[in-house]
Amino acid sequence: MELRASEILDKILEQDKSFSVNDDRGLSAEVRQRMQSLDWTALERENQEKLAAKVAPSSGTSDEEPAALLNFSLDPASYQVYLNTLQEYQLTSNKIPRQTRLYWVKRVINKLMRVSTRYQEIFNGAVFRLISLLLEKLTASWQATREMGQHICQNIAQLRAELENQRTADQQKMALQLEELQEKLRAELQAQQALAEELQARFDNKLSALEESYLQKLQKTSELLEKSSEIEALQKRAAGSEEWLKLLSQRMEGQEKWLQAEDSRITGTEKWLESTNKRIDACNEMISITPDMTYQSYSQAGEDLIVTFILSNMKNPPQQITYLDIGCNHYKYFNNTFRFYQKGYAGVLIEANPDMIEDLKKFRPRDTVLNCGIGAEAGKTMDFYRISGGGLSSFNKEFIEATLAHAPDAYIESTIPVQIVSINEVIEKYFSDCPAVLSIDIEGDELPALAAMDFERFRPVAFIVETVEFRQYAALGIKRQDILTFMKSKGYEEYAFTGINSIFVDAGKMCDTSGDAK
Amino acid sequence: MRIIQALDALDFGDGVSNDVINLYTLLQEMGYETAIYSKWVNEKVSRYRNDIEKLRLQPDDILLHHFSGESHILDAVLAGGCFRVMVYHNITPPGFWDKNSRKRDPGELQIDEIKERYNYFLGVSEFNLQCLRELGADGPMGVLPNVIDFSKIDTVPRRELRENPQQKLFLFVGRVAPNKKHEDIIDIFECYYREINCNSRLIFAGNYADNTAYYTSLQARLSSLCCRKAVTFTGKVSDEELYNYYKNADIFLCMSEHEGFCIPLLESMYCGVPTVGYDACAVGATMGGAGILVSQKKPQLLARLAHVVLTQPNIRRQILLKQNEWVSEFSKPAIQKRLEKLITLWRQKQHE
Repeated sequence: MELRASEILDKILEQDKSFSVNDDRGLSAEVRQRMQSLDWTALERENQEKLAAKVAPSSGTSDEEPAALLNFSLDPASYQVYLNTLQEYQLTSNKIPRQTRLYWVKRVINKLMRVSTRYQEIFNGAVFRLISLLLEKLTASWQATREMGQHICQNIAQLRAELENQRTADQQKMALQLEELQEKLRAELQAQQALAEELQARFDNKLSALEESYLQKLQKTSELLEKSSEIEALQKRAAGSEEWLKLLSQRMEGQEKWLQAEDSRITGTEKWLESTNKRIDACNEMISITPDMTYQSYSQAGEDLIVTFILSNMKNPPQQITYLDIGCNHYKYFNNTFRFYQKGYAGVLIEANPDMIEDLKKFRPRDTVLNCGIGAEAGKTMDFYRISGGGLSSFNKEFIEATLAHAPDAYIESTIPVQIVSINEVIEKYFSDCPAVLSIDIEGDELPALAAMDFERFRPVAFIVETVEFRQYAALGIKRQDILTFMKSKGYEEYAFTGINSIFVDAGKMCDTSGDAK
Repeated sequence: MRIIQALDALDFGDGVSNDVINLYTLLQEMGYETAIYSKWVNEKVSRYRNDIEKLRLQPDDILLHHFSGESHILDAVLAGGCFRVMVYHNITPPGFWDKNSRKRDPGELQIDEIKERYNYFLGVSEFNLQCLRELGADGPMGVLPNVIDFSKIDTVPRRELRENPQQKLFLFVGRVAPNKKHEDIIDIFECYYREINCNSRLIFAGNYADNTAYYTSLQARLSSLCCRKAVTFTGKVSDEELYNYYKNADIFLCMSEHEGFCIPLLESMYCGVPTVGYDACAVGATMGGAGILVSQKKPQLLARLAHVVLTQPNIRRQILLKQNEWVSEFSKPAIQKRLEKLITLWRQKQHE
């Protein structure tokens, strides 16, 4: 069959679109060229031979057996070769022993059986495929018929809908045209009426305006006559006012002189106030330098007095005493920093129990009050156990259980979530350097909180740390050695122990006594 | 800030699960705090996973919800305030093959209901994002290709699978499902086997247990073909076995007609196997101009094409060079860079 040039071009273009190698036209063209240049028929022929050999492989005959007898494939030509060989073989078979012949016959029968089974398999496959194809065709035909039926139904419905739409549209169009005409007539009538009304209104307005202007002119003439007599009276009053102004200017000059004298007196008073303030400052300084001779303590066992003594008798006492009170509880009673507050100093108070916050803010307004917990896991929110009485409340469940065992009247009132921050964060945010005094009483969690502190950066002069386990009565043998060991490792020596709290001092900031013995 | 990944089932050997685990490893290497939460888990990968019931989202978190079908973890994923990203892996609709069908996947219906709850939509390919847009999603969108751990392939030694050195091995990797069009590959291979070279094998690596009807139809088709004994269905295989198939393969054929990304194409390219893919859905984009992209399924033409590629070393070398170049776009550093940019963008949007 001959192909037209356009058909050939179409075929080439279609082939070009069928695949793309590396998105590269040159390479794709090279591949196509290779595909065209290969002799596919020869390749297929060669492959068919290999395939035939693969389907019926050699069964491993002995040298004595005729090769054609056992090496046959499934195609009819090979089968004919086999029959011819068998006939030739029958002619000479008398020369071969009976047992050997029987053996060969047996093998040939086996082979034939295998061949027939294979043909049966092929037949089965073909029939199976035929039935599948038939079913596919039937299904496709049924599907096509169904689709056609659906399509016809859809078309009829569509036509009906279109006709209905057309009729409705015509009716609507006519009704709209009628309405438009009526509307136009109404509008025309209204316009004529409005024009007549407007002409009438203009005439009325003109008449009333003329009347009004005439009346106004009459009124103005009478007013002018009245005003001429008023002007005469005013001229007389103006002459009197000039004399009064002269007297007033004389009095103003006297007042200015008095004001200057008052200014000089105020300047003198200010100078006296400045000198008095300086004297008061000097007195205050003397008061702050003077050792504190009042021994009122607000701590549990006089810890604030001990720390006052340390700070007053250091080699280089701090200029300004600042403090960080962690777990401060009541603003005054059993409080290690209230004495310093009373002396005029200020610091930061941290309390997890929200019940205490209102009083702390009310009675210690100079201090910064934070409602949070201190711990090693900063940024998290932890459960805070509120114990009846307040003072033993804690985050530490084990501590709470141990404490309740020794305090039969106490019980857990409630559990509330409280934000945790680290000591380092608080000092960085609220202190320019670091606090002189750090008091910590957080019911069993002292050691983890201290362990999270950066001792390289922050070195308070004194620590007040609760170092005993809770007992209802004063007891011995409950001191916590782990805190002592930890503080020593950070360069802090235990200066005093009050039975409840230990007071640690920075060994580096204390007086060097190594030369005293000499 | 934590970057949390959530999905219905963390399976073993599944494309989505592999992506989740590889992303988890990458995020850890980048120094982010990250975790995987799922409802179901395969024991082999349970070490990566946390129970979805324990998921507690915080406002500072970024949640990547991997969506590849009807989700059963929406209660946990949509509870609490955080920055939510839907990672869409595409859904093959139940009526994909029947154009008259109006059935919709339950997952598609879910997207319609929950699309407003996500701050960002992420797709492994532009095709997937287009599908999302068609489903009604209109928020900000971006593409992050599947994270593929190619280093695992390098660690597996090659074991010989050929029966003789001249034998040619054709390979396709993917579960046995109608959209993958195994029958087309069989037709091409039948042509090659019958007309060109009978010293060849075709291996289908992938799970066939979930779609027995389709698998049976393929077997019935094979029973009448010349190449029936040269075709092997391996079923689900381990990673080691899979990578060994890649390393033995002479050519990789993919005739699939619905793919959201198709990782096997890149894996075969990485293993130096000439890769042939049918241009449908995301296949063309994933191949990116490398390998051989086919737009018509003509068995004889493609069989001859395969023969040319297998027998012409120069052509084969050029194909492999381009493939290697393209695969490097999916290397860990390249993906890491894209991921870092996306995380910065999400954080900015989170603070807005």
